[in-house]
Amino acid sequence: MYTMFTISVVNSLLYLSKYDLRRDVYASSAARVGAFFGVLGFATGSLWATYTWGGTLTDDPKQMCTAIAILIYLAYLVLRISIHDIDKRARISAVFNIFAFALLIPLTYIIPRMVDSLHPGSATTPGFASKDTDGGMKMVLYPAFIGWTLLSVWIYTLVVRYKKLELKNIFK
Amino acid sequence: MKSTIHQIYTLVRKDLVLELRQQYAFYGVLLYIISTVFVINLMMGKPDDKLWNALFWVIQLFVAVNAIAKSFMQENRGRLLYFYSLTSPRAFIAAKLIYNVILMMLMSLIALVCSFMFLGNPLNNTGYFVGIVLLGGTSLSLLFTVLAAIAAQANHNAALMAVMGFPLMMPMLMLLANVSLSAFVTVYQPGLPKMFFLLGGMDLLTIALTMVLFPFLWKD
Repeated sequence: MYTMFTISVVNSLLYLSKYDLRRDVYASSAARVGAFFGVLGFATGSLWATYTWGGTLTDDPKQMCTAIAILIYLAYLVLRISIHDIDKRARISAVFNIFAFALLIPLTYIIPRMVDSLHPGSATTPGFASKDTDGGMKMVLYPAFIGWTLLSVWIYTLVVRYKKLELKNIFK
Repeated sequence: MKSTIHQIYTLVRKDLVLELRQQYAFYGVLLYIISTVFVINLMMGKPDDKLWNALFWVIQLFVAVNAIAKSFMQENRGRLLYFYSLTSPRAFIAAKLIYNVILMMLMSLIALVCSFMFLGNPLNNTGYFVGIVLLGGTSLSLLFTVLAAIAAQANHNAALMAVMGFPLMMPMLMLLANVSLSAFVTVYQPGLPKMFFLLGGMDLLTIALTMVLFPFLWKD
């Protein structure tokens, strides 16, 4: 999810520097895939939390921050729908994208480190963080991170290729 | 450099004078605050500390949306073009930021007084809370000014501003609500200076990003 959002914001920056509409298509596709993966992660995570933590929506800061990040990108997509002119849409949504990313995504990394979380690794002293998660779990966890990230990149390339066919007049 | 400051000063003064003459935003928002607080009073009487805090920040949020949406809505297309030919976009947005911060600070104080009147005063440490309210008003107004600028470009859509603003606002409001809890009871809050630091950092980041990005919005 964060990989996709980073791709999106980099493309928005490039759009503002060159006014190349292709960059806008990349940015919006990445945001869409990122929001989709965010919803998937949030849904499965909440389902898991229902049984493990005993509550679907706990006041765990990481869960809240994920929800907020998803909402922001949904707002980005709504903003895109509401403007009809292509160039104007590209410009305004690029500005909003950069603004939202710079202001928020760092925060969703900082806030969970300041408050206690139910997630492993966020105990009050970092020295015990390595004892939180079992080694065997880590062997599954980190390859799974990489795998899902690569999967999202693959889906993103599919979306971009579809868009290329759809918008032939932009992509020559 | 000197002419830029002069331009900013003139634009801020123009907004303030316009506000003093029309008094539209002021009385509109005043009525809004009073009716909201009064409705809460009718529904639940005097709420307890935590609820008071939550309600107060929600009122602040809606006041900010209403007060600041107006500042761009009242500029029609022709007048924006006129400003475009006169000033640089950075001077224009800087003036808007300053004006909105002033407006929002005033509104925050009014909201605070109204809350005291209708909902009672559960505060232990009033001075501290007033400080946080001013800081919070500044943060809210900075962020919503940018969003209002974006919404103004997207056909003056007020609903859009709420959609874009609320998710962006949430972490800031959570921080503010946490920080202000100390004003009610003396509790030990670890990381309190860090939260202030974070809030200030967010404000600075907002200003910097606005200055960089607004010229892109302005081109039309």
